[in-house]
Amino acid sequence: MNCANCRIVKKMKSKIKIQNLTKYYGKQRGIENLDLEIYSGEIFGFLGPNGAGKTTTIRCMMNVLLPNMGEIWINGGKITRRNPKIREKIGYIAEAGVLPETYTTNDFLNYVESMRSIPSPRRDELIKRFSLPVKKKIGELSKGNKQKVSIVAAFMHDPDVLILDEPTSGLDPLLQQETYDLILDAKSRGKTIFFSSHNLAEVQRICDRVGIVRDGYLISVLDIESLNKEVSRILEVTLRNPNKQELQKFGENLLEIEENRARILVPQSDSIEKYLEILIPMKSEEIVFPPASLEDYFLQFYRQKEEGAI
Amino acid sequence: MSISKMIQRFYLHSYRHRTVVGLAIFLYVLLITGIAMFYPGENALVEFIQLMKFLGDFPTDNPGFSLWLIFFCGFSLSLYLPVAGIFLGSNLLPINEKDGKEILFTTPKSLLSSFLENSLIVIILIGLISLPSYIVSLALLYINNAWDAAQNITICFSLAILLVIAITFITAFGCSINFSKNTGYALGGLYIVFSIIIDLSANQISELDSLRQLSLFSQAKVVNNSIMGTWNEEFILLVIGLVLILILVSIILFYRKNFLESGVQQQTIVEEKEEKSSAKLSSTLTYIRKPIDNILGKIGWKYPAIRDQLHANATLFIIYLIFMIFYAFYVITMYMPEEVSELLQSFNMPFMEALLFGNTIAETIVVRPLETFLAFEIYSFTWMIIAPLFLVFIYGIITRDYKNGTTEITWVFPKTGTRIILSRTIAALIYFVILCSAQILTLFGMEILLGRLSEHGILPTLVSYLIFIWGYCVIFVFFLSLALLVPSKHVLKALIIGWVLFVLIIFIAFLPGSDLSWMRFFTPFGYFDSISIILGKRTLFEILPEVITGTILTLAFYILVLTQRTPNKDYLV
Repeated sequence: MNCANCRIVKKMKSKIKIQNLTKYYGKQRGIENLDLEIYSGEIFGFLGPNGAGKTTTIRCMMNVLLPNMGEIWINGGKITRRNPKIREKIGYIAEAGVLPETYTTNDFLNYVESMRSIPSPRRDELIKRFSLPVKKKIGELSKGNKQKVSIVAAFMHDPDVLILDEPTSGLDPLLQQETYDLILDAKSRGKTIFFSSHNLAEVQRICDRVGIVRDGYLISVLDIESLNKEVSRILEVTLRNPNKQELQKFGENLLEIEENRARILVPQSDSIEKYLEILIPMKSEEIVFPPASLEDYFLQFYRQKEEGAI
Repeated sequence: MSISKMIQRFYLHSYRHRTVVGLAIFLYVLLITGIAMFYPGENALVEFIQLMKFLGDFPTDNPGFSLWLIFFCGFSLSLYLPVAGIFLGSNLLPINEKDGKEILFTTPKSLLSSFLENSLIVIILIGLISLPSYIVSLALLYINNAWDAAQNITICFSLAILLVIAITFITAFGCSINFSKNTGYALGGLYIVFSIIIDLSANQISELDSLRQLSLFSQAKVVNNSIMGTWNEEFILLVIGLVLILILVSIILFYRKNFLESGVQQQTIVEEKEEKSSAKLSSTLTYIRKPIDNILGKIGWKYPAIRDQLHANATLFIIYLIFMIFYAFYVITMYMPEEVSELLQSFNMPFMEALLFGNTIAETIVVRPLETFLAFEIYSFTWMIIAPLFLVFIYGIITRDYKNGTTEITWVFPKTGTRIILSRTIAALIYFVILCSAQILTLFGMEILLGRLSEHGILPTLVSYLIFIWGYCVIFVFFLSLALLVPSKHVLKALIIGWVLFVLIIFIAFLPGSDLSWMRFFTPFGYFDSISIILGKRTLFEILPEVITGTILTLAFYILVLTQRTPNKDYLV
């Protein structure tokens, strides 16, 4: 995989290694020929739209699914059904983690702790940090609180490797921030984090490197600076008197026009001033730069591919 | 509404009742077993005359009718359908968000029409559950030219279905008042308890006999006594009136405009109450559990999965245990042991004898009537009713993750799948031992009460019963292995296949000159001959080789299944 800027991290010790991972559900492709290496102390973002193969990959890593082909090593140990000890030092948050609803939070955490057979030094601290209602039954908790329970269960034994499948889904912005802080804190303590998401902005915010998947294939692996450079900016303009002929000046970069609103792609190679010079005479009511979405990235990626740039 | 939409809704609604349908299939297996016990027809009539004489309810010259009545109405309709009625009634309307309450209340349909539509679906379900049993009854009576019986059984079925609809509405009514499913279950349960008490009391106090008409459990007797060949108009009117009143009251209640608001408020109150009571319960449980945990900790017993399972299913298990003990007493009180032996002597069970009991029953019946009764009760009650139901419960423990969707929590722990299932098996086994011990203690108590214990001596009896528990556990592990072989989503298919195979075996058994005694070596029952053990006829030394062989074979089977099941499959299927 092309990753010219990854030389520095490659010198680091490999924590997770995935080789030629392939998983099919009958004839339906989950993930195919995935090769990845994640290094000690980094936050690796696994980015892709829904149905891209992120969860399949993670479930194979946790041995919940058996791959058709390929091997996975975590913490130097090969993941097999016969070797469950490796999972002692892994913290895992499942996608939309379903929890046993009849348990109280406390009972559930006790259960998790006893099943791991290792102490959970951070349990009390995390319960306090997330203000978790420990005596309530999980079934009575709100969606956000349930996610908090999953987060505490994943982090409480201070694992070396954290595998997080969309950990911020269902959380409000404040809790999202709290979760990012927790992940960054884990990184500062030398932990390795594998973090899946379909939110580009989220990944840009906390990850060191990113692997992008789509339709079961890994498209690229980039460090975050390269990603930021590759992701184009989008201009959203609201015009008082939209003039379609004027707008055609943007050529292929004009993504769409809807009544008096237009979306314009600004490639990293172009300067924004050039675009503003055209827009200002049009008497724009509003010009905004919304955060780039994954769809925008894919749009640009495939456009470049068609042009033969990659 | 078009028919296709109606069918579609029926299907969507019925997903909650698949357990009920699964149980129905299981009950048909039992019914067929019942027929097999009394087959062929001529013998059945003779045997049934004796049975009715024994029960003191034999007012008819058409024993064929009475036979089907007991096995199809007395058992199926009186025991199974009321339970189905409680479940269906409790699910008649969604009570909480999980059941789709918000979805139902935000559709453009009126509450009344939703309620009526659901009621209609429930009535169709009850009809569907009863229909095959009814058709089989009619077919068999037709073969025997028993036209009167056919007419009577139609009345009986109609009444039973009406009564079950009444129960369904009682529970739905209860749910609507309190907005909690527990209320529905409690009301339905109370009704069953009421039926049993009335039934038992009426045996002693003749004045209470008229009350029996309100008891579902004694329905067979009521019909037998009163409407044999005639219509008991009072009874029919009573049932129809009850159903109509309940429907009317339910409609009025559901039609109230403030249903949703008051429902939400009331539900909050109920939830708060439940929370408080559960907090009380958990603190009480902590007091009990703490010393046990300390002792276990001191001896180094750390098996969290077992502890977790014991904890998670304790309430359900206690309810089950109480029911089981209550029912055991009910059965024992209902049938006088001395007279049962007389009845058992007339049994002609070519199939059952070969498949389950071995060849010893014929000898043993004459020798020790009480013990035979005990053994018969244990087999008929424990094995044919309790054990399979308990198996369903155990299977629930093993596959709980698949049902709750918590697979990804359990299977990512640093434990092998084999160890996790093994832990759960041990937890289930502990329950099973307690259950068997309770039942055996009940029977032990019976022996003491009847002064039979001195005949055998306490120690030999105790040893016999201990071997019994051992045998039970082994057989339980055998069934558990079978359950593990079937992925959870295919349970219904497995039940159907099992049923078809069972019917095939029965037909083979009825072929002239067929000898199925060899089949007993394919079932663990063959290795644990309960009658021999109870009678103490064979010494422990004689039984031991069989018991050990059975244990080894079963454990080998379990280990084979356990090691084969998990490594090569995705956990998320």
